[in-house]
Amino acid sequence: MTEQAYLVLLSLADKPRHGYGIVQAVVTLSDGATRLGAGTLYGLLDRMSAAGLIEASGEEVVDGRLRRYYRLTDAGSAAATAETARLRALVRRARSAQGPSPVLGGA
Amino acid sequence: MAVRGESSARGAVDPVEPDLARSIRSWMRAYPRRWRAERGEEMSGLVADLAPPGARRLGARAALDLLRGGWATRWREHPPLHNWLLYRMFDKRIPVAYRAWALDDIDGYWFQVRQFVGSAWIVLVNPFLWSRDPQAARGWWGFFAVVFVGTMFIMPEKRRRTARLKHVAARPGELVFEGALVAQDGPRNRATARSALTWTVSFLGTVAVAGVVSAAFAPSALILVSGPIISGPGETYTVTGDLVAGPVGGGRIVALAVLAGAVGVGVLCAAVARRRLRRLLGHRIAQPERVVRPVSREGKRTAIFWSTMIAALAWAEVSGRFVLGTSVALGAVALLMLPGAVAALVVTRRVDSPELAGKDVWWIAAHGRVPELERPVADLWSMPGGYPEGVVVQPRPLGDPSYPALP
Repeated sequence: MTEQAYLVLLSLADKPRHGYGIVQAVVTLSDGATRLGAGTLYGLLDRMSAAGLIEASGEEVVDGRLRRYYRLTDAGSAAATAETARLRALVRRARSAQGPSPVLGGA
Repeated sequence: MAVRGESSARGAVDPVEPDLARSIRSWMRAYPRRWRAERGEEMSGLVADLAPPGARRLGARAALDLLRGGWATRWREHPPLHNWLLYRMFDKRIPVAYRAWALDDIDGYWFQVRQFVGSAWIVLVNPFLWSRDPQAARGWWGFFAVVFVGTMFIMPEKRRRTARLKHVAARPGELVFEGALVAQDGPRNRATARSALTWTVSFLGTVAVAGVVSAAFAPSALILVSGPIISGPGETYTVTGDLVAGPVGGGRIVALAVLAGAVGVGVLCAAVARRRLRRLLGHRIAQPERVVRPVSREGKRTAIFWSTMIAALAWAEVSGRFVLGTSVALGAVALLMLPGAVAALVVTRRVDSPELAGKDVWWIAAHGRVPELERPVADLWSMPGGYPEGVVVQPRPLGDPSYPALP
């Protein structure tokens, strides 16, 4: 799973969001490092819907703009949890490889 | 829109600045048509939201992002190479998974050229195209360009409909669901008499003028030589007993006589057509299986394309590049029909009946009988909801009523 896909999954973890909501949530989650463009986001949404990780959950028109909401499926939640566990294990191994160091925040 | 019976577009107001909206729309053309129909509105809203305030055009980065995303989507949804080759070169039915792709392909502007190039690529093997003689090669490339583009203007609507029914329509035995695209009979589109006749008269008029001008001014014609011709202006003929291009001479008189004869016969035919129309225009029957509308945009493009081609042909003859002949034959046919078309236009203008189709006028003028009942035509229809689960598409024997009937 790419980092962008993981961030999109995480952004949908607490509640369904529309496209703009996802972009903003990803900026917050990545601490400003990842700003998804519309083309990138919709490419991810298409592939993740096809893989059954997310699904559309209704739409509304706000200020004349159509907003379609997306939410995680059970498979999507499981994938996000698995990826988090993988990263946690990676961090653990990284710490043991590097020993207590200020870069990783110390032991 | 090709698929009929779809729900109308959402009536949302777009508050995006018009210049920016136009810029977004044009960049979003990187995405396939079907994708834009489904997600375009939602996505363009997001693109507008992400644009800096007051922007009148999309920034380079955002535009590139759309281009990349659009082409990635096209690539993802494209059929695999072998399916695509079979579809394109041998018109083999596309697998179910790629029907949406095929519908976009069929409704696309260049569909017929794509099909034609796919099936007629063999002509590109023609050695003349790759000839060292630049003039000959240019002539052949020009010829093939005209033929390739010309295929776009040979019965475009009918060929698209046939392709949709073959590649996109659900097959018998498939489940019927809301939005499924199923072949069903429906009313046939016909051009109104006034619109059709106006376009016919201008087309025939152009062809007739082209023929007359060419007959009057073309400098060369095909002539039969019976002995060796030694000299010409800069050229030497040594062929005997063969057709070669030569000065037009008496050929001009023959060409003008043919055109004059065509006008004479045409005027007689027009008198007959006029009498028939006056007698029978009031006796038409109701046509439930027909939708009458002005000549479609595609129809107009077709008329303009062929008029231009024939005018170009006449110009080639007048300037001596081609020999006199083809445009005279075409002009004679046009002059044969033009008086009748003008007479029909005058008569139908007096009748002023909006539901009169050009087809009716042609039928009455040519046959002298009341037009027959129009038969419905099969096309792709988007199914409404409300079918119980498990209903499948039935085979459609000819002449059966439309399937499936609502429970």
